[in-house]
Amino acid sequence: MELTRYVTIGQYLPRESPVHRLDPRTKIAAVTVLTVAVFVVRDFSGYALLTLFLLAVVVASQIPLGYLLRGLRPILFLLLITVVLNVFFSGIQSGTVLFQLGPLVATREAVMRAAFVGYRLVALILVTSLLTFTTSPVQLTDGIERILRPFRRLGVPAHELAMMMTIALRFIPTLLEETEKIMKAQMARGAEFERGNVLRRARALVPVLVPLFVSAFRRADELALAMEARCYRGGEHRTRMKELHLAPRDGVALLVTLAVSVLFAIPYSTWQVLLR
Amino acid sequence: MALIECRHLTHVYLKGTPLEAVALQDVTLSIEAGEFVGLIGPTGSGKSTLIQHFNALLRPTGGEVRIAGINPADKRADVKTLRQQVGLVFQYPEHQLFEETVYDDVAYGPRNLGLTEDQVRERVAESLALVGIDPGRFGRRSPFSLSGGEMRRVAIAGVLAMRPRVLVLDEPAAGLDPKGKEEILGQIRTLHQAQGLTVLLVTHSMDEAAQLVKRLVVLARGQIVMDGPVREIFRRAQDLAALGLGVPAITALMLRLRGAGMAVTPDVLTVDEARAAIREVLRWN
Repeated sequence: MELTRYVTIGQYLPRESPVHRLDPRTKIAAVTVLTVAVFVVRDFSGYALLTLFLLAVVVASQIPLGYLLRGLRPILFLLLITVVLNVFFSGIQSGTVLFQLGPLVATREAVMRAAFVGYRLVALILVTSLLTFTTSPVQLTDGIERILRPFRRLGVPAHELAMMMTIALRFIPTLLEETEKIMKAQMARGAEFERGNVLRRARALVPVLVPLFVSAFRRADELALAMEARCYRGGEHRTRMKELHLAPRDGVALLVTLAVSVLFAIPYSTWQVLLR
Repeated sequence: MALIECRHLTHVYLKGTPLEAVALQDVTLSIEAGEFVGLIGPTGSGKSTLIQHFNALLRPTGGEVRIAGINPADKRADVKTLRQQVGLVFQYPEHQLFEETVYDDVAYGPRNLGLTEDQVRERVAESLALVGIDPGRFGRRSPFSLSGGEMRRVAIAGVLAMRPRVLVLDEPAAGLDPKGKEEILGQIRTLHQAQGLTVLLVTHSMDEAAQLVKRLVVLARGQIVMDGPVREIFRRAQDLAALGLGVPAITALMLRLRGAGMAVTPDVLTVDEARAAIREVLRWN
């Protein structure tokens, strides 16, 4: 019973790496660029380059690759379904037939497409988890707040949104801990969560959910009170202890990311022409 | 065979990840039926981790645990029977209340055991009475309408309704006012004396330990550093201080008197004993 063992989303691993030192805004921008690149890439040469680049960033970030890949576990099922569906129902009619399962035909083209789609999902998870693993939640929301600041004139409550995100992120581990504790307390009173059919399992969760909601509301109440007691009044005229400053390395990192992303998108045939 | 046996018990959290942390290291401990044992140690010393092993909520990552002869690491072990034998009361147990009425909440455990409604009613009445709550008056009320101390007693009754042989309590008096504290601790003492229940009390408070327990186990950094009769442990005030722990207020007073040149015995746990010791030195008898 260690819930935290299985939930690595949003976890931050403090390290002294060049990736950790980057400004959060740079990292958010780089993730956006890479996300677009992942969808633009169409062939093997592009994916090979992308993989190499990602591996290089992982090594630089000092996050163990195995730990990063563990984050894929929750989406493994989704990944499998996506790949299977794409192999058989991609709508590609023509092409070399690889194998046949009754009325279902798998062509070479469809298998390739499925592999690409699957790999895209993996790459997306890796890119985003690299962001959360190397950026503390506070830095992350600071970055988002700064990025949204220009939109304040349009009525976007940048500070309030960032504060809400910070609080939500901050309470994920707390609520997980609380869930674990309540589950254990009920198990000590003979509760069983892994027996019986779906209905029975759902009913078994009531003794966990009720105390969990009660304590979540109590915590929310206490936090609101504590913030008001410190005269919190939202975003106007707030100064911060740690201002974000862009350093030369941020420019370099962003330029490199942009450049390699353009490289990924160049199709193989163009490479052949270029390198002749 | 002892009721609870740990041999070279080790527990590592999040093993195999970069966040792994050793919580218990080579703990060997046995608790006999009928004992009243205190478990004491600074924050983060592994107390909560240790007691969760007694209920098979955590499995050892090294070493072995046996509860009433059952080894939870065994795949065929009867965990349900084991959990029924060891009643575990977590810190702030009132946070686990969920039912609409006090009666139903206490009945949750017995119902999980598959008892008939008659047996359930009997157990609810019995365990509410044990914690000094009148089932007739409180049974139909919502547990969320009770005071903090009452809620906690109802939660403890919910564990007692399982009729455990061992009661493990994690800081049962934390956050209560002095009156609530005294009531809870008094009831725990009664449970031990009248019902013959084996009790393991996890606490921060040396005064609680001095008043209640006979044997004290001191845990620090995941290891047992002292284990013995409560008097012997409190004689080692300096060792305890080195661990960031103190001695009971009354023992501390005797040590100060000695420091000031009065030859009283420091081997004192209660106010009465202290009075006797001071009278003896002053020759007032």
